Amino acid sequence: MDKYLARAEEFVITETLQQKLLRVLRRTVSNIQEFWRLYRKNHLAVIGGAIVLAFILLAIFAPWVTPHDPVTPNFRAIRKPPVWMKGGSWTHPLGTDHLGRDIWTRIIYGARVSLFIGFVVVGFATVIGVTLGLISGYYGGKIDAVIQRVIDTLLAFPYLILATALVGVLGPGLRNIVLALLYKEWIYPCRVVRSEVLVAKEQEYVEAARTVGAGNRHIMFREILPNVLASTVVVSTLRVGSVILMEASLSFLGLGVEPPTPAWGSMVAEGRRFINTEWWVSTLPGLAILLTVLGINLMGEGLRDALDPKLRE
Amino acid sequence: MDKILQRLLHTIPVLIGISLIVFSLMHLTPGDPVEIMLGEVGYVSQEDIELMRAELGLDRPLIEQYFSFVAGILRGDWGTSLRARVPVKALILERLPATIELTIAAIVVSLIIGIPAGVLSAVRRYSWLDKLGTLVALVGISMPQFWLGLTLILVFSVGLHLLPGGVRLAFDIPAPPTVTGLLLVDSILAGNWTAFWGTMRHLALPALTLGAPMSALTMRVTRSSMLEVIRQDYVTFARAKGVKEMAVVIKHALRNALIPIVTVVALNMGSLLGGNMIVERIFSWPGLGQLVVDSIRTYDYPVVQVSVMIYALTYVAMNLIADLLYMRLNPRVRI
Amino acid sequence: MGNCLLEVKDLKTYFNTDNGVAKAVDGVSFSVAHGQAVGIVGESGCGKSVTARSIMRLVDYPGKIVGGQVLFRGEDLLSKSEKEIRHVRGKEIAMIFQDPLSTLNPVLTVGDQIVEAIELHHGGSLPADSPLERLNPFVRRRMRDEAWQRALQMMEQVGIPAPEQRMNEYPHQFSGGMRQRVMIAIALSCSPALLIADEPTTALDVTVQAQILELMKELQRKLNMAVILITHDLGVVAEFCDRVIVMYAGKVVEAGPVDNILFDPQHPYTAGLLKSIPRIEDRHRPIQTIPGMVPELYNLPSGCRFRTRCPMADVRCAEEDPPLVDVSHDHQVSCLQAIA
Repeated sequence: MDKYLARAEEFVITETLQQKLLRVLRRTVSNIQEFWRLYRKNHLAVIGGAIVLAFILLAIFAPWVTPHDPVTPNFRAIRKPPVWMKGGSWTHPLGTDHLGRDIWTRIIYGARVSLFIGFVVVGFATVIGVTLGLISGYYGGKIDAVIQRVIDTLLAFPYLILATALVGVLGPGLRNIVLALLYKEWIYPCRVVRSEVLVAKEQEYVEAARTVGAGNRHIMFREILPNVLASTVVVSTLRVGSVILMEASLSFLGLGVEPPTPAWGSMVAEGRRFINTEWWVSTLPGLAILLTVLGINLMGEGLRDALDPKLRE
Repeated sequence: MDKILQRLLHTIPVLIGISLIVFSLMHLTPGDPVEIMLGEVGYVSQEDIELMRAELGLDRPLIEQYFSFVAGILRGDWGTSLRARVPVKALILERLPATIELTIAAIVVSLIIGIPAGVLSAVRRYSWLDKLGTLVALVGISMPQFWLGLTLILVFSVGLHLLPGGVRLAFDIPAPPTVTGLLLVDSILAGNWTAFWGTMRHLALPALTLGAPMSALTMRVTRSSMLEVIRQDYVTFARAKGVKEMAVVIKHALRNALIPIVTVVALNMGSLLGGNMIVERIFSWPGLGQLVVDSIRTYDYPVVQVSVMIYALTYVAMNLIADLLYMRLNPRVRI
Repeated sequence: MGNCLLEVKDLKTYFNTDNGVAKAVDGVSFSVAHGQAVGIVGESGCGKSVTARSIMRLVDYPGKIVGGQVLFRGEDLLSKSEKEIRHVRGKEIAMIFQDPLSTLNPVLTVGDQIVEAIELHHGGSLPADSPLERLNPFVRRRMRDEAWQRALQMMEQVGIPAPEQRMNEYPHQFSGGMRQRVMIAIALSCSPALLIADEPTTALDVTVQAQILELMKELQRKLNMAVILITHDLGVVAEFCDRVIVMYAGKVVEAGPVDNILFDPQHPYTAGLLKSIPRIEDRHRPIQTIPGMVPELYNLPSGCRFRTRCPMADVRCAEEDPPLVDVSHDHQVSCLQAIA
């Protein structure tokens, strides 16, 4: 054993930094190629990815995509119908609302809020959840029991009800919405990582690492984490969709970002009053939510199939 | 019997956790909760603030507050609404039947749609029907509920004038005398079929909206569970016995597939309960969900605490029932 | 042959896989007489199970019967409607499988599962044929009672102790051997003319194996039933069968009376199989095995399929697909070397 270790060390030392970088790069590139080859097979997943990418680009470049302002009322163009209806024009392709604001513009700016909250909440939740999941699964015992009871308790609260109540007590605003959603969101990656760790812990590579004297932290983050990453990515992607739906529901209930900042949920809520006549004011932003979340879910399922064959039915 | 007892014991830490979270809700407020609550009203004197603090027990140590909160809940003394100045209990009991009726209807709708669709999809695997069904289910879980509700109103109420898009019963139909508060049950008890039919029609769209994500989920679970079961030897053996295909699918395959379905559906009951708030708002449904939203907006913390707790307890109860059902369906773990 | 119960002619069952078409059963022919016990032997993956399932038309997706005939009492089962084949399944031809735990439905009581089979085909003797009468709750009740009685009888017949009580139990409460007895009870509840047993003893302990075989033999005689026994165990075949069919890679390579096959094998594959059985008389000799691997069914060698592992193969074997020809009375073999 020692002899082999010495040989291995020799090999590592003789490899220059440049060579090492090149080797890692080459491996990464081939991994990505392999992933793309598998992902591409699922046409719906490619479409889903394209939708998500389109919304992200639109959100980032919003001021360059549309000439209008999302918040300033324009009383000369109130409740204009979309371009395909009688009286519509290309000036306002999706029509305008009761204050004459361009709906297309507000949808694009609304994407900023939705995507921001979706990615930020899931990002933080993944970091917290993965860490706790690793600890919970790896150490087991008391700490695991405590974390699991906390998760059971949080599961009992309907997500939207808990988030609404929390935004209620914390007060509105972007930061508080993120906090209110994080309150429960971390349990999803945590549960997935924990169950994966329980499996990984019994694998030979962990045993091998332990035999050569690796510490707990090294085993958790260097040996196990890379192996549970695939399912974490899949779950987190799918969770972005759910979080966006939550944010939309919060703002529909009037507990989202403060007006007049456009958010999809509050646009639907505001347009509700005109559902009998100007149906587009409320339905089109809702359609934007549907498309985004559908895109994310399609992407997530594609990722699952490409990254984690064992998760396939 | 032991298993049931064990399962009940398991819920104790969860119940304690629920009480802690619900209790802490009021104390999460940045700043003084009393000032926030009273700030709504306009100018208040320092005296008023002290008075209210005493009423809510906020002047006592935190531990004491928690125990008196729990004791109150257990005694059935749920506090007083700060807005309505009536006992929270009365407020909630008044709203509860409407929500129960809607929720049960939604569960029924989601099972009626979800299970047959999932079975059909699994049996006709790889067919265009399966592909379409899977895609529709994915759209179902990707759809914001409020948007679905509005679209249904737009199509069926505004457009086609087929179904009513709000409230529990039209104002021109006399409601049956209140016995249970569930309009369907009450109208049967009173033999009032006009009211029964009216209630059904009013329930249709909200129940469909509330049940839609759940039926999509049920469909997906049923499909994958059925695909797993259909491969089993006992299904082939049933065919070899000469059992009709329909009976093979329902008696032999579905009965086994139901076992995991029950668990997954119960675990996701939270999304259905959460949807209450949205659906009740859209369809002007006078239920608990609306009460929660209104109370949050008016900082009526006692009402918020109790209603949020009721939702959590409902979830726990439903999962308990699901576990019992699981044992009932699966002879291998039967007691 | 007037005595012929089942005749399989040039049966072909293919599977569409990602790697191409797998010819699991490729032109198999054989026949079974009334009351005869026929063994089908071969290594796993040689197509013996698929052949059995094809006879009952129970091949699952992505498998498909693409050609041939299965004549049962002179009628082609492959051209029957779904409804007609259902009346053959269970009633005329019954089937039992390898693993009784996975074959019995875990959520139904053993009694229910036997009664179901009896009720489906009226147990052979139950009245109330008209659909109207069957709706009558009293008639239904009586039918159910009669079926229950018949099921009890079956449980007794297959040697399950305390049948009254065990009828209400679930499969997981039975031992492996008892489960297999239950499966036999279900299969034989309608007195079929043919029983197809797919490795019925493989999943059982050796001592239980012998008991189950004994039971099957006894019931076969009593019911004058034909049996197709699928196995990879030549010992079981020697004990049970009148006739043996040896399959390799989806084809019949040799068929004949059990004595001919066991003592005078003509095909090198049969000879190899026999040599690989450990024998007491030469316990000092190492067990012989057939070298090489079974070819993949979607990538078969040209000519004779066994040639890649055959000690006698020559150039001709790669060019010609050997036909199945008579070598002696009722004994056929498919090998160019054997014929020459």
